Amino acid sequence: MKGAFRQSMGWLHTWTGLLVGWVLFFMFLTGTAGYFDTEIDSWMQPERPIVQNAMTATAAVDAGRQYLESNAPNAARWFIAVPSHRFPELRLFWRMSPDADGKRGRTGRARLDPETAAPLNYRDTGGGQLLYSMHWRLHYMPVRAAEWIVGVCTMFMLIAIVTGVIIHKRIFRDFFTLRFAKGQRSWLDAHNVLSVLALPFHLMITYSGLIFIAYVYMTPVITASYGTAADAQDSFFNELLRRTDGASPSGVAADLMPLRPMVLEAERQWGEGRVRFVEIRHPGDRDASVRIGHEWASPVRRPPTLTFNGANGELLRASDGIYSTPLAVRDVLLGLHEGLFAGPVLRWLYFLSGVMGTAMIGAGMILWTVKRRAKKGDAFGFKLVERLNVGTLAGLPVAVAAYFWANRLIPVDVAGRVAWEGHTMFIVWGVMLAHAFIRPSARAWVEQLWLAAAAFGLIPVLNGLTTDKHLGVTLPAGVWELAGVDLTMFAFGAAFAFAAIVLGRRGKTLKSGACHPGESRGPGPQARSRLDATAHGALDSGIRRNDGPIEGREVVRPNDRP
Amino acid sequence: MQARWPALLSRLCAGVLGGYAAAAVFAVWLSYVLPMPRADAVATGVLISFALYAGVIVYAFAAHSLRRLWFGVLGFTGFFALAALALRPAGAGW
Repeated sequence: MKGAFRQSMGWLHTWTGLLVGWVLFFMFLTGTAGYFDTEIDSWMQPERPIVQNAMTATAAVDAGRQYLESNAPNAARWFIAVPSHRFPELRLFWRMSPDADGKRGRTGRARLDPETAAPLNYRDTGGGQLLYSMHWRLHYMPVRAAEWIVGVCTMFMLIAIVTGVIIHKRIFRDFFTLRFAKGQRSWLDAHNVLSVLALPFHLMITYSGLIFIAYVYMTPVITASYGTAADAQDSFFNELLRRTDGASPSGVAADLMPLRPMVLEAERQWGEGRVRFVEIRHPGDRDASVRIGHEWASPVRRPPTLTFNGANGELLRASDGIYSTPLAVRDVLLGLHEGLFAGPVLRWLYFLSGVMGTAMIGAGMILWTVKRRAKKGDAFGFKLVERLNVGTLAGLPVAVAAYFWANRLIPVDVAGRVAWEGHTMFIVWGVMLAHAFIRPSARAWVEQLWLAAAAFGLIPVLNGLTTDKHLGVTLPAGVWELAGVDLTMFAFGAAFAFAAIVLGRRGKTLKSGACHPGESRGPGPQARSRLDATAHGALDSGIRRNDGPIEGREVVRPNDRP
Repeated sequence: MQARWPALLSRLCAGVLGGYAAAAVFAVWLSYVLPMPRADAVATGVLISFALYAGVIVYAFAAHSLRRLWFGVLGFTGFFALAALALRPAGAGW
């Protein structure tokens, strides 16, 4: 009975993982890059000067207010983001008042130089933000559609994690078990190690990912309390967030008080350099309010704030950012997911966990094919999975590297260059998928891995040829945000080269005896088909036949020797 | 478990559709009975609904017989639907 339970859980694990594995791989890869989104932003705008002294909060509100008063007077809301280490520019945002029909006012944004407050004139780029936003918005589709696709895939991921834990007998021992060059065993070991090492991260990132858009998926629960009126969701959020102000302005004009004393009061309470933003509602109205927010300091996503009366400068209230337990739980989950509070060390840990998650999915997808090649190597479904694996597990990284190349190679003054950066990535991914379907799969692996190695490994060279923010400058100056991008790209290049060498060499040295039945790949030169077969042997070597799948009863059995 | 298609489809429906219904209905019931402001209660229900959803999907593939599975999923959903119906406040959306 116990065995049957584990078997069905193994079945569920296999198929939930396989069905959406490629989408999950995409989400994990782009989301992982997102942990360094602002670093990639900086890298992708090499015109940005290297900022030595970030603007102080008081200087920022003065410069921000001046810009907003001349560019967005009569706005309903101003938002001034104080420059910080990770966000070195002065960023401004505004929303105009609703028009006569009650439609929400249009919005605007600006970024100013943190030293001179002059408008910036850098190249247009999708930057790290586009890469990061792809992990939940996907691309080329409406946000709502993407949210549902991503939500369903995330639910699959949750099921895969739960069933993965259930079928896993020896979590502790698998911590230390990684056998190399043993084919299926090695892929299973790799999948297990990557899963177990970062299990808390995988579970957190998956569940919190669902919570992000939970109100979309679980709308009925809100409806059941708030009714079906058009503003039902709004009233729910107003109640949840304890919103009391921000309704309509009085209409009576009153000068906005100087912001500097309010910022100084906040710094007196929190310490210097702790102010992250200043938000002004209804500037110029008697009911104006000024809300000052604390920097990211903990996983709780909602910061402590001070709210002042904008017309007389009086401190109205101080909030610690925690309104209720359920909201705090939600905020912590979302805060952990985004990791905005993380310093350099924790940020790298996030990144490495994300890399492990991406690799775990990849290893799982490869394991699926390695287990089945001997028996089902000729089946259409098998070939489809195998080709999609090559075109995604190796092809998508090539496409992401191409996105970086596009940033440097598309001329700066081309109209729509942001869109073309994105197009480049997906065109290259399409080409990689096509290549995977045209070429024999063992060769496609080696070729695409080499391509990925070159595409990543040469990025620092490309950067050196096209900009003055290359390693020769950034390393001596200690600008680690920029040098880190180059070095990380180079490290990925080296890793892909290593994979290509291992796969290619074993393909050459293994005797064809390692080849499995069902390996014939149609007509073609004898030598070529033997190379294919033996390269597969490299992926599969060490496979134990009696570990093979039993129809409909596959169980992933870590270290379970009969 | 049976790998035959009708049985598989049945389990899929019970897990995916039945699981969603069970999770949503349970979250609604919870949002009615929790002793806290209604927005907080709704938020709590939504927070844990996905754990329940995942649990039902796993159960759908672990249950020994289809009859027991459907009886369980429908019984659970029906029970909490009725309980929620009895408790629903005025102005609720149903």
